[in-house]
Amino acid sequence: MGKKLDEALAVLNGLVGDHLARTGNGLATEMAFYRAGSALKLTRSAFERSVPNPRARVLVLVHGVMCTEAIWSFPDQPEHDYGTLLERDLGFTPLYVRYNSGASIVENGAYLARLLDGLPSAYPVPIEELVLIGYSMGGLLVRRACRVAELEQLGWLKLVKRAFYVGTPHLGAPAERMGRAVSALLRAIDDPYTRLISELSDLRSQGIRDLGEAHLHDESDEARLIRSLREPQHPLPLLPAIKHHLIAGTLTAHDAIAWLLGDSIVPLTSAAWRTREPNAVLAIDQIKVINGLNHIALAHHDDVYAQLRSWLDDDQENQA
Amino acid sequence: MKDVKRWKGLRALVGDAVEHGASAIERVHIATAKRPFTVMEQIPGIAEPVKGIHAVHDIIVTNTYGAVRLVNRAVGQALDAALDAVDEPADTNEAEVASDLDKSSKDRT
Repeated sequence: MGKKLDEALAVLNGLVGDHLARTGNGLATEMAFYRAGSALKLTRSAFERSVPNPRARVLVLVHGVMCTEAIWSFPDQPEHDYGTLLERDLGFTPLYVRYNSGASIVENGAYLARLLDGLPSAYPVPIEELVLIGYSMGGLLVRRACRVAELEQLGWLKLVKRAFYVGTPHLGAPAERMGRAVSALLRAIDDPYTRLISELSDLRSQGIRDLGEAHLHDESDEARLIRSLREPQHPLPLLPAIKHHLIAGTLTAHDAIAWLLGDSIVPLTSAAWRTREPNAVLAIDQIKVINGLNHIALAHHDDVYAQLRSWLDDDQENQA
Repeated sequence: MKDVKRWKGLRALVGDAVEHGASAIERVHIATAKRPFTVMEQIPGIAEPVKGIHAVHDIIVTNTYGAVRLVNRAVGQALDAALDAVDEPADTNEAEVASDLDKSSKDRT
């Protein structure tokens, strides 16, 4: 019941979470670290109670829109996810972030930056490394949080050496842009019923709207017009101090279909940051395209885990 | 406490849905009715009485949907009060238990 209720609330938050937060509604999810389905207070005692055997290397997993950290669980082995497997295999301590995915990405990114800022003092042992993994919208939150940390010189950013983005729409999601265009078209028709349908579709949350263009810049950055999302001067470039890794899924290995459909929600060009000009921060070996995986499966699949582990293994060897 | 907060949230959400839903349907209702009225208002002879009927129609529609919104708000406030009443004894009880525990631990020391 609890898990099902949490999932229902996550969907509701994704759909109208900005309204819930704005009206102070008790159904709005407050961002927090979660372990075993329970929120952790950012205090030393709460972490000591809930995180047995804390390691110096911490893995922070940020879920996508309209879901909770349950999205990471493998369907056939619900007790396993990328966090528990990396804890077992490479000695990380996983912490799962749950948040109101209907709030704007800029707002959630700022909350995430604050949450991470409180982590080193609440965590029972000194943190040597923070690894960030964002799935879908979660990856955009990670990017925004890093940007906030850079602007505000938050200490935790120095602990981040690697960030992983799984099915993240770095260059936006065309489905949202298409929905917006259809809604505008319906609104333009002088008919009360089509306008009503348009009003209903416009109820979708700010978080979902932000996915259209991967809206990551704050008010002060608004002045910078985005000429094209594909240009290297994207409003929020990847921080060069962090090694970024991207995983994209495609429904099929067929080039044209993969290009057209991507993982069914996020196109390949967006998840793999394929731009006309090469991105100075992303080397070819930092991007992995996995064929035959849809968007949802990317959050809990053996092939994705194998790739994550391989990258983390390589880096460990290099560090050694 | 958390459950009551959620119940209150659900109550508020349903209230918002009824409020905005009633307003949206009211707009559709008035806009849809406007079409035949506009045509009839062009017909000489009946134009003036039709204008009067149109105005009365719009007032009735506005008042009806207004009444729906009013009842919705009243029910919402009543439910909030009931939820507050349900929440209060539980809090008081928890506070008393906490106080008793505190007292007994002090007695032991």
